[in-house]
Amino acid sequence: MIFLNAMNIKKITNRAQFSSSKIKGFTLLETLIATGIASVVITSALSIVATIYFSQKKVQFSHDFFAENRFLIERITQVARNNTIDYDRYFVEMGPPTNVCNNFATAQVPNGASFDNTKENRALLGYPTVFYWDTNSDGIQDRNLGGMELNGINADDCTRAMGNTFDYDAGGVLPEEPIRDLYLINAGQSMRVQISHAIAPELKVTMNRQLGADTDGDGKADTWGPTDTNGDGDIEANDLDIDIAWSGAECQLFVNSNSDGDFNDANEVFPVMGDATTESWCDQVHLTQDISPVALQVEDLDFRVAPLFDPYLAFRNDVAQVHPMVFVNLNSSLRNPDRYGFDATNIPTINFETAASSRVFGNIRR
Amino acid sequence: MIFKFIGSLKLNSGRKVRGDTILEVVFATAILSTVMIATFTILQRAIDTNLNVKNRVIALNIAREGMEAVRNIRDTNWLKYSGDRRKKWICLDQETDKNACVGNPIATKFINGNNEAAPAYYTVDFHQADERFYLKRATLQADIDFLNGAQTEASRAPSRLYITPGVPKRFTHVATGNTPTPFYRQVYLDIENPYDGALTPAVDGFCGAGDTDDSCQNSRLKVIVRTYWEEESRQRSVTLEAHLYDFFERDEY
Repeated sequence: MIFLNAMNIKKITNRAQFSSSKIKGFTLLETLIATGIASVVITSALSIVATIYFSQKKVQFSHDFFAENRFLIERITQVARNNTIDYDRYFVEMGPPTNVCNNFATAQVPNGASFDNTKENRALLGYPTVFYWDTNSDGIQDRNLGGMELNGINADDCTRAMGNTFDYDAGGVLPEEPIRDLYLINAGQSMRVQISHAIAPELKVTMNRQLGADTDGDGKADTWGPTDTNGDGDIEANDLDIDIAWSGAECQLFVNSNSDGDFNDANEVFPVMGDATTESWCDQVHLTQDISPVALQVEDLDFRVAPLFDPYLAFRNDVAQVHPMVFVNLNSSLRNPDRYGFDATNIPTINFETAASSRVFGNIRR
Repeated sequence: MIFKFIGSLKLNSGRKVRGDTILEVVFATAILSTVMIATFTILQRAIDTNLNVKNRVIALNIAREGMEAVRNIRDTNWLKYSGDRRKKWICLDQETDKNACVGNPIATKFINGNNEAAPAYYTVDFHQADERFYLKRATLQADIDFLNGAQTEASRAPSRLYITPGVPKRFTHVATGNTPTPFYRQVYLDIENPYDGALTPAVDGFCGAGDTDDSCQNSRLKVIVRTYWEEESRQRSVTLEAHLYDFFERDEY
């Protein structure tokens, strides 16, 4: 067997020797040229494949980027639809611009010492108060002017809850006070939502939910401004305060039912839904959450709110008779673009605008 | 060096080495070009898809804004005409006639002060000073067509959207001082009666037995918002369709 194989090899070797005498091999030059051409072809083919691959990747990342932006704007509009504009909070935080409302009229507010248009005074007054006018000088404020001045003819600019946003019709000038925070309140007046554009430590969008809001810093949630509980036509201490807080391991809701200013009486403390040890409800309602996807660097987030007045308080003001809505303008870019193959001069950015009309109908100040 | 090289080639060809036939060359070229064409087609497709995805997202948001505007006009009518909701819920105040719906507009037609019958095409734009949307009736093409030369740009112009300068930017139909975009938006409105005439007009006191207003008889508004744009010589559009009901504090609808 081994012998046979050796014979065969010998035969093959002989044949190879024989054929080599007739057929010419490649010269070095030919080999070099062939290798050169082949390498050019292979290189270009590879570069085409690489281009296709990376452009396909870019398309995919761009698509993901759009999807992330859509998610964010969807999240914001969803919250805006399920709630309505929180005019009370806007009035305190922004208030009417001082160039149209320097101070609140004496006949407009009860028993105050100073009525200058400052944040402190606005927090003290509360939004519904500025709709009151003592029309017959009997020392009692009433609300039948519905957002008009004492003469009943001109719209009262001091009843504006916020400044103008952007006056596009004047050629895009007058960026008076861009609205960076969206304040919303639900139909049951029990939950307030704040959507904000956070600058530091990184550009993102946050959402803060609160049961009530503590604008005067007394540690208790504010009410809807003065309420004439005993019907004497005068404004006294607020009749309802609520708060939610941890009490040991239990999350509790505190309600000042009898208006004595404390939560110490019967039927004023209630456990909040869920098991406090497993559900972080108490934390959730006070905590600020990031709602923008991590892949997004939110460069700018602006809101335009219409109308600038609460239409149900300013019921005689024609301009205010618009169903509450908000425009959301989102400008974002891709965070860590180099990770996705985009260089610094070619970072994907997108500008989204959409409108969200509140699905809460009717006056929620029942 | 080069001459030497050419000489060596000549020497080789002179030595009875067979060249490629024309058929072989044609086949090779065909294969090469097929591969190249396929490659570039894929590349072009990827770029086109990227552009299309981007435009589609923008167009969809433009259409959504239009839908939201019509909804807001209905909601505003519920608010502004709270004492006469059943008749005025679909009434359209105009930018030029801000109180077109004040008073008691005559029956039979509903859309605006001109008693225009639905269905009709509108443009919708936000009016900053009045802080509200206005639906504007204009002579519009029923269906925007960029190709075939069937429509002139002038006939499409009322539907065209422009973008405002400054930050934030905003889409508007106002051309002056703004940058044109490739997008066109139209709103189609039609009023319907989901009960096919069976709804009694005497609903919750607002509409009486003798009221023949369309808005009393019919409680459903069909809204179609369509955004058109031209992309790489192709006709593109995004369509949103919804039915808005006059349900607020209505006994039956």
